[in-house]
Amino acid sequence: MITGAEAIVRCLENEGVEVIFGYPGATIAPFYDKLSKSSIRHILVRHEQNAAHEASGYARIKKKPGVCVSTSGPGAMNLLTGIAAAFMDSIPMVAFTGQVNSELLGRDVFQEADITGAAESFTKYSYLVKRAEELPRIIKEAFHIASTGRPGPVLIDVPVNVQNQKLDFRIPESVELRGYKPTIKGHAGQIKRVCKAISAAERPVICVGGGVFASDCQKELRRFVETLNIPVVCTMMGLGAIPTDHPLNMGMVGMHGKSIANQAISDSDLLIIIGARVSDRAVLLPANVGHNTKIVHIDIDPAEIGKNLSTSIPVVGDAKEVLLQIMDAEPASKSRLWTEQLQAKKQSLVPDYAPRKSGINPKAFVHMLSSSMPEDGIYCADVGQNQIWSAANCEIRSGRFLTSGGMGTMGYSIPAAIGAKIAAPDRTVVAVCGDGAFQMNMMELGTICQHGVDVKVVVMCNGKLGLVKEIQKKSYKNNEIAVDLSGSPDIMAIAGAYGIPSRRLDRMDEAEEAISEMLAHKGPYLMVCVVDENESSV
Amino acid sequence: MKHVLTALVHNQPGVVSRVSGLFRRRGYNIDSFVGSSTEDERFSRLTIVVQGDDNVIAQVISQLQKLEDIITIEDIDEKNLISKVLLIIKVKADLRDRVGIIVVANACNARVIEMNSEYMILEALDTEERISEIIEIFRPYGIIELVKTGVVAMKR
Repeated sequence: MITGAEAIVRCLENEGVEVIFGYPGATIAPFYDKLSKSSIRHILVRHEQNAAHEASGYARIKKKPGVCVSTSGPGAMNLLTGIAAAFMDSIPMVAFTGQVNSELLGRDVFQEADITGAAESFTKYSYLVKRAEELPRIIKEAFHIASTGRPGPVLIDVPVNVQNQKLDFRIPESVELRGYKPTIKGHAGQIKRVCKAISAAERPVICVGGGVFASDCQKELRRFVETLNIPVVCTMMGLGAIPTDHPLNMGMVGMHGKSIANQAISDSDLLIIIGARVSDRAVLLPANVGHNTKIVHIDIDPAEIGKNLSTSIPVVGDAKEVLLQIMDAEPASKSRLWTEQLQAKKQSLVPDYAPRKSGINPKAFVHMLSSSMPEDGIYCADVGQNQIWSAANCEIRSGRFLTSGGMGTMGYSIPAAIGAKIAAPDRTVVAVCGDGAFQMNMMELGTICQHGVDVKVVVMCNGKLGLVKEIQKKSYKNNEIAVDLSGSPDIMAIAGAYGIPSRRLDRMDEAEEAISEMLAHKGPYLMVCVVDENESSV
Repeated sequence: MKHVLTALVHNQPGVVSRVSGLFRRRGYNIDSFVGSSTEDERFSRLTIVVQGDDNVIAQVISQLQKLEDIITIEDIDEKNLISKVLLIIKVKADLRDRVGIIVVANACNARVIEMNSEYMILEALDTEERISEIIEIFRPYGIIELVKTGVVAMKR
């Protein structure tokens, strides 16, 4: 007989969990007591929201569910933003929250919060554990649900008395979920239709999203694209699925994407969407997607197909499986002229990398930084103008581009970088954020120092909330309000307070040397880049 | 257009909340929502009447199917549908009206279940359209109160 708390630890070990990100409290204390005896590494964060973001960065690189833990009440509520961000981007995650004594539930006791109710819209599933003997089944189910089908966060709320209850510990052999059976293989008839459509198309385009990474099929995608010689575009979540400098890669689509990518979609006669949900940022006006465009939508989530874009040929299944099925059927493609036309147009585009009168050129900087990182480097972007500069100018070869795409949560970059580095200690990890987002997550510099996490942080400082200022300029007759960040601290002094070396960069001709110094340094490093407040995002 | 969806779900606390929460979150229009246990205590059955065109209903069903608690869900076609609504209605009835009300009740298959010098309580079990008609039939007498269930339905 062991306690519920001990059972949770053993189940986590059984699931192969090596790291958890968390913040303790009264109602999760029994769990923490048992955790101390385990080989599982605990990363103490400085704000629970970042525990979820760190678990998210970790999960995206490790390809296993990230685990985060908090106490009840405010701790659980703080986790919620991070959980919602993971939900929007379909990141596998299991979140444990302590809860008040189950006999006191509903009486508004100290640090009580209905987290399962609050998280309902943002979790794939959630559990409120009533009896300790349910824990092994629940935890096994939770990991299964989080990591299969369309991945997502699962929440397990464990009252403190349940953690102390004794149970006869037995891990179930398998998971039995009658209502949950994701489809992995594509329907043979639909695959045939896709092949026919490819063979008939003269102007095909492939659009890839985050699903390619969830399915881990970058290799198969590349083979598919190259064999058929079809141009590829991507959503923000799909950046890096094909190397950015690949001759068939036309770039990111959408509101802040490349015009050639958007044009490719509207001029196409066949649009093959793989693992993307085409939200309003990717396709602003779904009704305008070429009237003569046939749409093939390959996704593991049947509810996404037809949700935003009406689809001619839906294929429900795992991206890797479906791509292999299609390639097995050996479709032919006659789109050579179309591809060459797009490639010619792409060559003719000149990026805006000229030096600036004041401050650096952030677009040129992002390009230089990402090109200087090792091939498999991990670039963590935040939200706002810096995200748009990053998405448009990042060079990704075999590395990753991590950002909060769906929820656009400011403050994601530094904790995501921490999680990514812990998942892949041998890879270079850089977080790039603005001075607004930095002040939302700078407390994690403490986590970086405590656990010796070697991430490089670049803060683009323009003294403003840049993207909102741009919106106010464009749509509100330049009526600036609440976007001025005066009163912000000297960021280098903040880094110094944490014992992290830093430097300031305010001109492009010093950029190459500054980037070298930062990347060569062993240990965390912070660079403050001065950017003019009138620099626009595109 | 109205669609009658019938779903077999796990009989567990929170399931109704999850399903109705999904409707709220996605903005679908619920006409009625009925849930109760079945012959197998592990499962409950939900009957949900939703307003929407074919696209909306396809989305509703896809989103519902994603929920772990939902085992099966079906949109029952008009011609295969058996559906009933239960009505309990309290009608003003002084001594003079009583006989008239009883005759009318018999004519529309409603049963008298309660009677006193001020009112009568009638119950009727019929299709949704007939129940609406029955309510209008009794309206001239003066309806004090009425309560009706949502639609329960079964495929033939």
